[in-house]
Amino acid sequence: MHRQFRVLILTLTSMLSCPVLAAGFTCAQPASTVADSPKASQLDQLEDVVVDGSRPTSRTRDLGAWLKRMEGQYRYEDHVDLCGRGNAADQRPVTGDADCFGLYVDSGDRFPRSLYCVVRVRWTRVLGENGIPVMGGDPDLLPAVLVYGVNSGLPGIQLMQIDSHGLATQALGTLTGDTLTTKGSCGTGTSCQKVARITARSDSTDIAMLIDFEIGSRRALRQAFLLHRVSNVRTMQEYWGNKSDSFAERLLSRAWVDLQSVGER
Amino acid sequence: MNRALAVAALMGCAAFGASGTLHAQARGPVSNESRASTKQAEGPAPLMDEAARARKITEMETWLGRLPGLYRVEATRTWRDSFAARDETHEHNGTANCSRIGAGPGVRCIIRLIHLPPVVPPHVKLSPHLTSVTWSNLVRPLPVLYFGINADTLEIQAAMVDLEQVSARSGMLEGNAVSFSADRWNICHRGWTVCWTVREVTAAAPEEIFMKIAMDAMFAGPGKAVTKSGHSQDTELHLHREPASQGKKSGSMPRNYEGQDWREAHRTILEVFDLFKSRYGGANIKELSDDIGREELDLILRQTLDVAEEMNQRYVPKGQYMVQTFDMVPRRQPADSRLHCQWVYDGRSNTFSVFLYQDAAAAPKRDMADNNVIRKL
Repeated sequence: MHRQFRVLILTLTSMLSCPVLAAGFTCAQPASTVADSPKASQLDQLEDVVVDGSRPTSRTRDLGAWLKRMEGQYRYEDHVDLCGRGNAADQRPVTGDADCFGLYVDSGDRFPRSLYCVVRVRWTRVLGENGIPVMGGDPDLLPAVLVYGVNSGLPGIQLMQIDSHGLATQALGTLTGDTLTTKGSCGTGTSCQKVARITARSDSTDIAMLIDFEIGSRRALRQAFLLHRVSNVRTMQEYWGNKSDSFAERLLSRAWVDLQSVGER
Repeated sequence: MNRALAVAALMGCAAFGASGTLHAQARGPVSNESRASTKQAEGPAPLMDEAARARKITEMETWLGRLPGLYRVEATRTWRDSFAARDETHEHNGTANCSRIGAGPGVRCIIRLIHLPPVVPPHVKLSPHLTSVTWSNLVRPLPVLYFGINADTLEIQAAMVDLEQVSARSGMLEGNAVSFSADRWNICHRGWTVCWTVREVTAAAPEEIFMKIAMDAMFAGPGKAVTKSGHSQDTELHLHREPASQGKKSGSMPRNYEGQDWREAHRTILEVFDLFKSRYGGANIKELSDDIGREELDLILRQTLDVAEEMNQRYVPKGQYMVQTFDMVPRRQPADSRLHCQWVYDGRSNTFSVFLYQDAAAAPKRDMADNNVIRKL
């Protein structure tokens, strides 16, 4: 019932947006600002992370502990800002979900070395004047595969994404406090740089993401996502915890089924 | 709108950061500064004019477009028998399901091989350094494969997701093949148990795909046994497209299952039944029931799958094992192909397998003569 309701809302949203599409999207004037809200303030805190005096960590244990906070299934909300200027008129609400599965090298590991996520994030498609594509106007995380990896030869966490446009990008991230900051190419073959700040606190089931697309020193697009954990999923750590007997073999077999079902569970 | 106009329009919009959607993004940078900055950011990107770059992206999209579909897989796995000092090669059958990631050209492939023991000849003794876990690595399932386009380096990017870690490779498309090499992600760690590498993928036509995948055992212990290629294990996969699967949304088909959990097998069979019921007028179980109901099927499954392992144990002391096979077909077949679901309990490996085949209408039938067969171990 809830799913049907969501589909109805999405359909209505699409219908309501038709006049906008016909007119073509242009960035709003700076006067229109975002109303204050708890969500906004939670995301705004991310702006300050890189200047709060904390030092990045490169300890494998710390990086793995951070990845572990990301395990689970999540619901997406918040918005994409198609001009990156903070004007409410340029923002489009998002809905979606994520399914993240931690990968453990050994049963002795308390923390995963890698994280495998399949995400689906929806927002209303937006076109510019005369139907010209607008950067970020076409949902590209519907779905997308994201993998995070701790590589002992590198100082932070690697991130790879293959999106629903078929574009593959890689980035290297540094962990400062609870926030991972990654920088990498936008994957468009241009000078565009994607800077993502992802905060996962040990005392929260929410994850905050600010993803900025920068051309030169100018922010051209911002994706602001809040992820709410909706369920914990069985982790590889639990499978490994029972190894060395026939029961474990069955669990491992089940684990492979789970792995192959990520994003479809 | 033609592509040239769209690109010109995008360049005009550069002040607003308009780099477009799938095709506009993938087919060309919006400014001339892009090549220099791409080289700095991503290393040795080839210098190409806009048209050549767009052609290359289109070639990669076309190539990736050959991958989605349902396949029958013939595989050979080669590994080093260090006692006999020779490479051992074993053949496997299986299935592959390659599906698009959304509407774009990115692809995910799940490949399942059936492992019929003995994978290792009886004369081979396990090293005491090999634990049961590392032993199972030799026959562990293949990782989930992902392919996408790196528009910065103009390469096909591959990622392999295993239970333990992710590895990645990238490579240029040359003709119909991509030879993958290490990129900055892919460094096999000594701490890993295994490291997977996709070495080559050839897709000359949509019907035939060839893949080479290597696995390196990274566990500590005596010298690693490696094949002539220098890897712990080499797997070559020939994917033969199942007729009628081309162009269809492969993800809409129920999953196949292979494993030791009878409940998973049970669930998968019921999924297939539901598909047959909703689209093909119901299902017939060969030798058992025509137009079977769901509750009846559910009961039969509980009475066979749930007790299969226990029944098999009765034969083991006599040096025998049981193979139990059932065939289920839809009451009404599709116009251009034939669907056939077969589930098997193999007592030798204590494995349940459920496969949904989509065969050409003229292909030989798959029906098994007997539901229960007792074989010598």
